[in-house]
Amino acid sequence: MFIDGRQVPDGTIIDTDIAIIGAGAAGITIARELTGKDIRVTLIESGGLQFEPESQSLYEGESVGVPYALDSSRLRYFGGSTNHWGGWCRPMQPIDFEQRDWVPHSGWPITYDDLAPYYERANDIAQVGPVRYNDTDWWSDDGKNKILPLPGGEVTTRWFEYSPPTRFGQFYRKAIEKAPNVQTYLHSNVLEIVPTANAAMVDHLRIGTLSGVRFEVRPKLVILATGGIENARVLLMSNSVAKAGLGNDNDVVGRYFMEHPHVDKPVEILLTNPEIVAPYYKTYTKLNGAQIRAVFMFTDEYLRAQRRLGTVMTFYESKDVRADDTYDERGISENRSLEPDILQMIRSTNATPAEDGALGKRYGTGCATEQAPNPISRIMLSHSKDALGLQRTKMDWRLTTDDRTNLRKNLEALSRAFGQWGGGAVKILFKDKDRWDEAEGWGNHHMGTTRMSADPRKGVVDANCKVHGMDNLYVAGSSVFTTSATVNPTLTLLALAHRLADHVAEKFTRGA
Amino acid sequence: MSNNQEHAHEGHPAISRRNLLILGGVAIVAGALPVTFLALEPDNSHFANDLMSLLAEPDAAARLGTEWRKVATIAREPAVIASSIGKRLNPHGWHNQGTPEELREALKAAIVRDYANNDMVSISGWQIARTSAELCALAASLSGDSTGDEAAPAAHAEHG
Repeated sequence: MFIDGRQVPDGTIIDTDIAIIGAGAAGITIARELTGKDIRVTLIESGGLQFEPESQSLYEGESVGVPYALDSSRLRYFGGSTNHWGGWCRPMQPIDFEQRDWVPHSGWPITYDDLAPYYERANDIAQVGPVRYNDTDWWSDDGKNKILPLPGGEVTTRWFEYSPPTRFGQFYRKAIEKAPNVQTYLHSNVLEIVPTANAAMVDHLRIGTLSGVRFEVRPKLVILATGGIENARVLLMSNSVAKAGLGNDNDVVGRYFMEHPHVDKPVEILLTNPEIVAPYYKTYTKLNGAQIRAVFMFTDEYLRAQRRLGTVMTFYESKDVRADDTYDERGISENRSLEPDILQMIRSTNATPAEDGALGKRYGTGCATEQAPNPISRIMLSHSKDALGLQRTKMDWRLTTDDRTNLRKNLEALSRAFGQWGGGAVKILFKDKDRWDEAEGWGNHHMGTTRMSADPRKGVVDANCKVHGMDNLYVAGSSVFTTSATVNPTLTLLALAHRLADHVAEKFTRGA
Repeated sequence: MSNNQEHAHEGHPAISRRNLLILGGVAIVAGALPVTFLALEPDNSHFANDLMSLLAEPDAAARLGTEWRKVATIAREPAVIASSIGKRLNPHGWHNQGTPEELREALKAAIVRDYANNDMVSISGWQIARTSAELCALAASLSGDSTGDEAAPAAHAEHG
């Protein structure tokens, strides 16, 4: 059932078993998983069923670090940011969960194996194809597609699979609306998670609407699922009892904000033989019940040996390069005049001379890269207030010289791989400098602000996503990521949401 | 019109003839070098010639070599560069052993080795194996390129 919070009588108190704050990917997944169980679920969503500027404006805030668009990078209505999701899916690698001694603050309290079965369920809810993310044979199309044989053991080909993308708010709307044990309150904002006097448990949620209605939800258990930025903001502004905010005894809430810095054309690649490039490298490709794309990633062996963090690289066709290109065609302004010469050099030692002037092809690239967890990269509360009278978000996103160097080194590894192969060459366009003047781009991936750690001094939630020091407050979403890995976060946050749903369902089944 | 632009529109046979003339000059220059140098660097004019004969388009290599000289200090004398390349192919130098195909394979192996050892140079951003780059520098020297003359020491190849 959907209920418009603006129609709720002022002062109403709603008793429930589980309150889920936020109807985005994580919140809807958990509500769906709890559907039909003997548990009363209250799903609380700030927006309505469609985009509304008034609700969206609650996301506006202040960016004081690397410039970042706090409002347009997420959506505040039923379905959340899945309403503009690109659909890229891929699980993290096992190494991403490990404590890597070269990555400060790394190490999840769970392993890949803990999450593996939930990745399969995440694949289902995101309507992705078969779980074949690393299966070269599966995508070979009876031998027609071959991966580029890059030697050296540093670079490998892996695959993303695509969700349609599933707009959770549209696709699962009826299921949530008809769920007998789920009540969804729209246009209802959590003004504060109010704990008991000792701040060890959630007592109730103060709810408000932009129209001025105020009511309460009194749950036995709360799951905060408002997104990677807002989760931290809600905890910080829930400070009427615990002055630093809930779960923030150790000043960790909001810290370690991570994104995936995106760089367009960090390198360009020339290949002498474009014929061998399988379609799945160049664009989205439908194959064997899935829509896929191959990417270049870096092997565990390389990451360990070189003490690097990961990068994902996409690859697309740009232009044929011919010996008889005029200088205008080569594009002097973009310093392309050497491209035929580079291909001639490759052909001198590793390929047959060009007979008809066609020397090869230029490929463009894009990349997303892992940033190291950094406690000073953080979400705070601004002095300015929103229409509900709540302190807005103040973001201080930091990217370091090391983050930049890491990407640069990975690009050099890519260059080594193509060079050793002998069929291509790599031009690094990513500037070799100390600092990020600004992010070349980002993925709208908000991670780390309520990070998972077994140690309350180092994380906000434990391995079960429960807030340290609180008995009945859980967090869902990419804010619990301890490290960001390099892949898009949605599939992993969906896997974690399934795992959390099982955990809380079991608690209620046991009568906890 | 610069030399580079002129060469870009020339046919392959004309370039080869010009290079042969230059290589002849290398032999004459080598003849004028001290005996000790010649003892260390035997037959490098022939070796340089053999290397050039492997190139699909020597002018393309020369243009890359010229570009590299703009940012790096590289030996100018063909004999010195050829000697350096020879040592990359074989630690004891390349003494005219083998067929052209064996030379090509040795070159290929050296290039793979360079990449594996992260021994790359950047030519306008292109990550090139040092052996390839030296081959380009050789081609540039043989084409009479004078880029970087002011900065380059007389006969010290860049290594490392």
